[in-house]
Amino acid sequence: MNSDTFKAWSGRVAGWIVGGALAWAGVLKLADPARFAADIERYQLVGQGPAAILAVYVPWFEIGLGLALCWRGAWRRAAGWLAGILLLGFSAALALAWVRGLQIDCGCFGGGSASAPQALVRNAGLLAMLAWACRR
Amino acid sequence: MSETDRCAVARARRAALWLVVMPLPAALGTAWWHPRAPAFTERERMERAAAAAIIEAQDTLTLDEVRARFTDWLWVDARPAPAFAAGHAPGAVRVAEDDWDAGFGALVEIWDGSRPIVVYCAASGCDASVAVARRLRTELGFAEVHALRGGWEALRASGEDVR
Repeated sequence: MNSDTFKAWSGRVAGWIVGGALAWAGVLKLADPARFAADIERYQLVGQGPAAILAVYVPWFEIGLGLALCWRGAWRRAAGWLAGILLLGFSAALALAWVRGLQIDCGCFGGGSASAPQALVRNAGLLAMLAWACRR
Repeated sequence: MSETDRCAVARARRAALWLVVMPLPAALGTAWWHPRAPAFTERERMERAAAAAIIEAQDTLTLDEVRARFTDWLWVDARPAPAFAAGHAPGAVRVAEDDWDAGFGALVEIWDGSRPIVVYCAASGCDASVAVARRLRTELGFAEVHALRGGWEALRASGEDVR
């Protein structure tokens, strides 16, 4: 296997992993949007109304991004940028919660109980894979 | 930038727009039909809060109520593992929904079958303790399983011997 083939395939696999993780996170959140809304509220960044709107929109957005990342061409490129913005947004919210000393579950995978530092490390890993998957 | 690059950027922009817009109808459908849809209006929120308060009042006890009702009880910690490792109530067993089998197994090993169980999570805003208490009540077939109102914050503020 030459270097170009390795780069192409490793990029595809990285895209599948990040896409799969995003789509799975969306499916888990979709199982209980009320719980996800409560998770969002615990970050104390938005009120109840916006949290409810985000709780029904974000899971579908994640599923769409996850599927697009497993695709190719313009869809993959667009999903890469949007997924990067989404992951950075999640990470900023987690970092703020951590700095403010809030003891909350991250809510990243439908109420799983990863702490803020664990979720930040996971997001950093996903962002690194995303950068590799969507490099030009 | 070449013509080909410009076309690729335009296609990516269109795709990004679709990815942002496409979830909207699905989100509307979720808000309308999902049995676990969040509350959007103040009135709906208040109705749900009133119903939840009734259920919570039945399921939860304050620390004073726990002390008044029982002389001895087993603590169950429903918080994330790092929070448990940083400090917990004396003799507490960690039983959380994300790692149910391990926690439940550890609980069954030390529980004598008659000792009341009190479950706590991080604070009054968390609902993990109520969920874990309900599940334990069902799986153990034992009625005296309660959630602690105020959670770990109330426990620590009370001067209870925590470690």
